[in-house]
Amino acid sequence: MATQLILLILLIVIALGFDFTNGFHDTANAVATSVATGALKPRQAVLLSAFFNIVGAFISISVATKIASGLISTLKTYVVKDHGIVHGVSALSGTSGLLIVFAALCGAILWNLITWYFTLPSSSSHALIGGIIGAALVAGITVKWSALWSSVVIPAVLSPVICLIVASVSTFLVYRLVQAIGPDRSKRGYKIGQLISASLVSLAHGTNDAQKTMGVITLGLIAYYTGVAHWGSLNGLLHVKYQAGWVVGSSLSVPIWVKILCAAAMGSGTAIGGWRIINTMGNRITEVEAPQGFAAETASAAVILSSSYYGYPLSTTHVVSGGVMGSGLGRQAAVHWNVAGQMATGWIFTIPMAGVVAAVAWAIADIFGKGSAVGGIVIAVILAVSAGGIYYLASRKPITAEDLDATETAGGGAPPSPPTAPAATATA
Amino acid sequence: MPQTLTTAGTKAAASSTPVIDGNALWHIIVVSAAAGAGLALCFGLILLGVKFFQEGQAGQKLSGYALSAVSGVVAVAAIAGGIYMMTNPKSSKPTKVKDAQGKVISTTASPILKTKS
Repeated sequence: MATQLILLILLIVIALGFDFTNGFHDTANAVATSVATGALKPRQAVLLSAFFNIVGAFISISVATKIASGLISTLKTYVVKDHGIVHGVSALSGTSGLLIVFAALCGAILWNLITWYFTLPSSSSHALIGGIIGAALVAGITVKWSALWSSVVIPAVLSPVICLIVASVSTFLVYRLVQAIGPDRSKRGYKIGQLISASLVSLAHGTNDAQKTMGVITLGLIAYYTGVAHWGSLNGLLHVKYQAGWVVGSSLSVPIWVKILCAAAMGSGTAIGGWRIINTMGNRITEVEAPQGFAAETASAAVILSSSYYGYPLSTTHVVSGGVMGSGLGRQAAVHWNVAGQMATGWIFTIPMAGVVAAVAWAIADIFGKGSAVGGIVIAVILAVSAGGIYYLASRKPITAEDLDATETAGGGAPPSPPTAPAATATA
Repeated sequence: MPQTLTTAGTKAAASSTPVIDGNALWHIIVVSAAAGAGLALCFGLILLGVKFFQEGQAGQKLSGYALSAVSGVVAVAAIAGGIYMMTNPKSSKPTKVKDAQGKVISTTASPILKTKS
C-alpha cells in the first residue's frame, strides 16, 4: 500500500508538471498573434491567457471524464463483484497501472520540452496520447489502432487544413472591409477585438487541455483505489449505471482538489510565458497585422469549438497554426513554408517519439519490478535531470518577453532566431 | 447483482462504425466557416458603423449607429453560442454496446486501448 501511495503521489506531481509544461508550451496558441500585432504586451497577454485557462479548466469536465473513461472503458469487461464496478479497472490497477500512466506522462513532458527547446509548436495532447500508447504497448495492452486513426490522426490532419481555409477566406473578406474602414481605425479596432478573440481561444484551451491532466490524475486515483481495494473511494469516482439488472456503463467525477491543482498548474505555466513558441507562432510563420490576427483567432476558436461540440478532440496547436498560415494567405502576405514544414515534421513525430520515451520509461521502471516504487522514483529522477538539462541548454540562448516586445515595437522586424536546427532561419 | 456485458457485441458494432463521420465533418466545416468568418466580419461592420457615426452626416450617423448595434448583437450572440457549445458538447461518436441477443442496450465512446483477448 505504501508503494502504491508513493507512486500515486509521484504521479500527481508529474501530472501537474505536465500541466505546467502544457501551459507554457501552448500559451502561444492563444496569444501569439496578439503579441505580434502589439494588441497586448507579452506579459499582459500571458496573464490574460492564464486567467482564461483557469476559468476554462473549471467550466466543464467533459474532456476530463472522456480521457479517463475512454481509457478504462477499453479495459472491460470485468465486474468487481458485489461492488457494482464495471469497466476493467483491474487491468490498470495498482502499481502496474500507476507505472503505465507515470511512464506516459514522462514521455509527454520530455517531448514537450524538446519541442519547446527547438521553438516548435507541437501538440501536448498528442504527446500525452503517444505516451499512453507507448507505455501501454510495452505493458502488454493492445492499442485499438482504428480508434486512434479516427479519433486522433484524421482530425489532426484535417483540422489545420480546415482552419487554414476558414482563416484565409475570413482574412480576405476582412481586408475588403478594412479598405472601407481605413487602415488606422481598423488597426486600433481589431487590436481591441484581439483581446476578445485571444480570450476565447484561451478559454477553449483551458476547457480542453487542463482537463486532460484531470483525467489522467483521476485514472491514477482509480488505479490506486482498485489496487488497495478502497471500494468506497472508487465508488465515489465511478458512478455505475444500471438498466434492467445490467451494468450498462459508468460516469466519472473529478474531485474538486484535482480541478484546483490542475487549473493552478496550467495557469502558472501559462503565466511564465512560452516566449520561444510565441515567437515562432506570432513572428516566424508570417507577418501578422491586427485584422489578420483577429481573423486567425476567431477562425481557430470556431474550429476548436465546433469540433469539440461534435465530439472530435483536436489539438489547439494544430488548429491555431493552420489559422495563422491561412490568415497570411488571405492577406496575400508571405508565408514561411519552411517553418510550417518544420512544425509539420514535429507534429508527425510527436506521437511516436513520446511513445518511445514512455516505453523506455516503463521498461526502466519494470527492471525494478511491477510491485516496487523504486522504478517510479528512478524514472522521476531521470525525468528531472533531463528536464533540467534541456532548460539549461535553452537558457544559453533565451528568447524573452523583452525580445518579443522589441520585435513588435520595430514593426514586425527580424524576430529572435531559434537556437539550432531543425528550426532554421525563416525565409519567405 | 450486476451482470457483465459480452464483448462480442461491442466488437461487432465497432467494426461497422465509419472511420470518420462525414456528416459531422461537414457540419464542422460549415459552422466553422460561418462563425469564424462571420464574427470577423461582424466586428468589421461594428468598426464601419462607428466610422459612419463619427464622421458621417446626420442620416449616416443613424445608419452607422444601427449597423454597429446590430453587428454587435450578432457578435455577442455568436460568442455566447460558442461558449454554450464549449460547455455543452454533443456526445462523442458512440459505439453501440449490445447484449448477447444483439439488442442495443447502451452506447459508449470509442476507446483507443483495449485488453488483449
